[in-house]
Amino acid sequence: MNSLMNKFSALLLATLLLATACNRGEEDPDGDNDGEVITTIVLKFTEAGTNNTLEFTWEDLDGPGGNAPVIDPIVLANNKTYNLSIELFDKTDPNDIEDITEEIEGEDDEHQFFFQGKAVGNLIRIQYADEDGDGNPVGLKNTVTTISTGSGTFIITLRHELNKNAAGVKDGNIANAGGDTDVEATFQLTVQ
Amino acid sequence: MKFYLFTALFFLTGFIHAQDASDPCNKVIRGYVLDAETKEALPLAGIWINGLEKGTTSDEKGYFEISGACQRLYDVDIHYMGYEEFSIKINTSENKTHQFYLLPDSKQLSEISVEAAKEYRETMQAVQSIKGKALDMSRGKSLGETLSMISGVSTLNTGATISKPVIHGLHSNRVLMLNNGVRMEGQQWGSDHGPEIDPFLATELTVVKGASSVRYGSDAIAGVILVAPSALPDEIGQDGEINLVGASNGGMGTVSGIFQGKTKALGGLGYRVQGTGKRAGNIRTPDYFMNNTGMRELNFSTAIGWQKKKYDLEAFYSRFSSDIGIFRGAHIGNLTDLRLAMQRGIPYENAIDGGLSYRIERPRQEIVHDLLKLKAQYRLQGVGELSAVYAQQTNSRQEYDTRRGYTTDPSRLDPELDFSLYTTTADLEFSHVPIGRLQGKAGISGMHQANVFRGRRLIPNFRSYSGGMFLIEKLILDQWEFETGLRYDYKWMRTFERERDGAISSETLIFDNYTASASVAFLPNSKWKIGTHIGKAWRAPNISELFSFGVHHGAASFEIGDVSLQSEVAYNALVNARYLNKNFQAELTLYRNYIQNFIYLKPVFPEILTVRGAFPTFQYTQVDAVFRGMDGDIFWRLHPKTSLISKFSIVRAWNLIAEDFLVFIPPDRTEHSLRFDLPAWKSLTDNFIQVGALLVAEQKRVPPESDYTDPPAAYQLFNLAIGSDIRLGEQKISVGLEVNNALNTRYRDYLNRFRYYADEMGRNVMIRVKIPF
Repeated sequence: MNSLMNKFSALLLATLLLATACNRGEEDPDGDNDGEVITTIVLKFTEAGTNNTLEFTWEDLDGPGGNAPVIDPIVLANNKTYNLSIELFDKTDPNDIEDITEEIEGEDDEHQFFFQGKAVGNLIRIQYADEDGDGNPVGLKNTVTTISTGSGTFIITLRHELNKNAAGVKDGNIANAGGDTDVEATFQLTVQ
Repeated sequence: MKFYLFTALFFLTGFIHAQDASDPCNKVIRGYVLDAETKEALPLAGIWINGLEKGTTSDEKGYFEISGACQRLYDVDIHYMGYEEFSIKINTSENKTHQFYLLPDSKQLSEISVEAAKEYRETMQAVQSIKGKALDMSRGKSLGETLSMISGVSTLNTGATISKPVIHGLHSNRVLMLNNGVRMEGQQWGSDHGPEIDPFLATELTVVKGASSVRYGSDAIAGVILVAPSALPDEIGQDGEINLVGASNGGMGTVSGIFQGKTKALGGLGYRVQGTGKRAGNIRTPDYFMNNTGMRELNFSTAIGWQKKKYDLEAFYSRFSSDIGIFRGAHIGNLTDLRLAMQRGIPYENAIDGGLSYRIERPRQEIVHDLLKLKAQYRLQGVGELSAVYAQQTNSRQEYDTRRGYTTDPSRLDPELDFSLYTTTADLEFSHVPIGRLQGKAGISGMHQANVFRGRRLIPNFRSYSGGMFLIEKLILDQWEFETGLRYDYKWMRTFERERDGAISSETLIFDNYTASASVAFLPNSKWKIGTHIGKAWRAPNISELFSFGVHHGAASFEIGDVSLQSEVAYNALVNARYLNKNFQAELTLYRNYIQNFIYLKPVFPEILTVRGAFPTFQYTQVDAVFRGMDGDIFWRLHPKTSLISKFSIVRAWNLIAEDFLVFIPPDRTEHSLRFDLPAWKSLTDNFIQVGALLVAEQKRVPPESDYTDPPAAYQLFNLAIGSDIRLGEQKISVGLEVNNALNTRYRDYLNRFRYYADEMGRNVMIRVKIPF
């Protein structure tokens, strides 16, 4: 059936031309769009009863890979009590700095910070100083007491969608917490 | 034997015409040889006309013609391996086109394939198929799980819902998949990216083992998987089938239907419509549910076509769409979390307390794959057959990670990884009419691809053009068959990546390769076939191997690509021996695959430090590797009603540069089943009970420091299957019951990426109903 063949060929040719003529926009890529990056962790130790604040930052502006994160060494004075506040930011776009701390406060029942490392228990004692809507700790605000001189690691871990009711979690024990790790930052802490 | 001699008449039988009407012995006996159950063509069936003392073989449509018959009654014998001998008396005064329906030798339901002249056969490699009753028994399972019924094929799993086929220890970009003859192009480089094909659209699933690049081009290093629907109906009328599958584990329900027919209208149009819907909830290990492991699938395919004497035309469209939940307890952050998860042995409570829920939340994958195929075949008498295929496919894949907290920003609802791959392919192939004993084909093919990626940095955009041309010639003698082929491929690719400062960086890469193959087969009689195949295959490095730079969340690793990677080139030698007789069939395949520039992930130190902590870091590297192994199948009818089916496969993979084993190679496995055919009872026929065991060894051959934990222990799983055909008046319904992991064994599989976090699925009871109409 020639007319059928002709119709089919015409259809084929049309589809071929149509399809190959389509530019899918591959030459105009979107940039890296990671909506969940935390580039900066700011620790503010304020001596209790004063306005003296020590600020230490963990920062990785170009995200994973590339340049290594820049981590400030923490130096605290012995036998003092500090109010520790933690702030998180996304500074990927310097003109549009996102305050991640606000987001964590917005869903505080799903977030909790944990503190580990040699420094905890040996050089400092740390206790939660805030609560979420259910009366469980969050860890954006804490009380830190320096007890002994020396140097050791101070690891801050932020868990998201964890189980705050599992054994030990409210006391700061990460073992049964579960959830996703959004932050795991290791600082070198020295008490002088 | 006559049976094999007639293979040479393959192309000529179609062109025999009726003789002059004045000659009294000018009658033509013509007809179609078909499977009584599936109504499919049986090509290369042997037809012998007693009295006329002439015979022939049926062509790929099951059609044959024998001329020179006189006006009388003839005894016609038809035989076909795997089917009962068929005899009929034909009166040539009835000048009609007959249909001969052959019954499958019902007790011989082995998965060992039967000689058939389909396209892939022409490459003379180790080929095995799943079709007919064996395929019916696998309905409801994913494509990967179904294919693992074939020896030498296992699966790489991400949980229980994502399953990729592994042939001879190789997978992803080293296994080519064809959907109705079209190369499947998606983001198949991902080990957690399952194949986007609905097994229900196929009536035959075929695995071609060994290097197949000469015929198919890049990526066919370990072999090719062919998912093939049957040809469109050839007779006026309609028929169809409905399949229902239910499974206890996950509360899975699947409905699939197919309706096809041929109408006299529109010039004799053949048509088919097919669709599948599947829904499953959280799966359960022997001890706990796994939260967010549900899935949904909705697939559709349709085909229309005309089959004429001189030409065939076909248009085919398929759509695959699925929504897959990713286990909540596997979306682990960093190395610390991974180590904690492995130490626990059991996921955290909030990852296993969900019960049998059908909700699919983040993290999850959404995939849609559209494929359009247009095909035209034209037969030039005395010259050959020309076929042209044009295909257009779009693969759209979105991966949604868990999100941090509260946000009103609408862009945060976007997927974290958004892949779109657009592929256009065109193939032209010419099979020449046999020149003496020589058959062959030549072809040219082209492909255009555009990749658009959005989201967290992972792979760049790219545009690529590839082309290839090949020539394959086959010489068929009485007891020997020889085949050789040659191919050249060329691939050009340009990438586009937007850097932080807004500029677009671009790389241009070119890959080209010659490949060749040679095969020899010895067929002394209808029982034995011994063949050897040597082939060179290749593949271009995939986009992830070249350009990856980022955290791979599912694997808790940071992967770094290498833009300077060269093509992988594989030299494959394979020996295949097959013995077929009524009560005993065996097949053995031995192979050695030497792969130059084998690309794999090598751990590098120090680990990359991110805000989420340290991630084990891997760099894509090239080494030389050797894969060796053996697959075997036995079907043994111990007793008229009892059969034993056994399979085994062994793979050994060695890194020649590091002088050590390669990581993530499937361990040795063997499977045994005992099948009891039960006598018919009232309206129940084809009754059987089958009990089986799968034994998987512990993988002891792993290089040190290559993995987060040791491979899991060996395990044994027991299965039970029962089946029957129920006749309700005019209607026949096939039912089957299958119990997998009958003893609810607790186990982990080395090739499951979730083995760090959780056990495998527990007992699963599946019920299948097939209603043909």
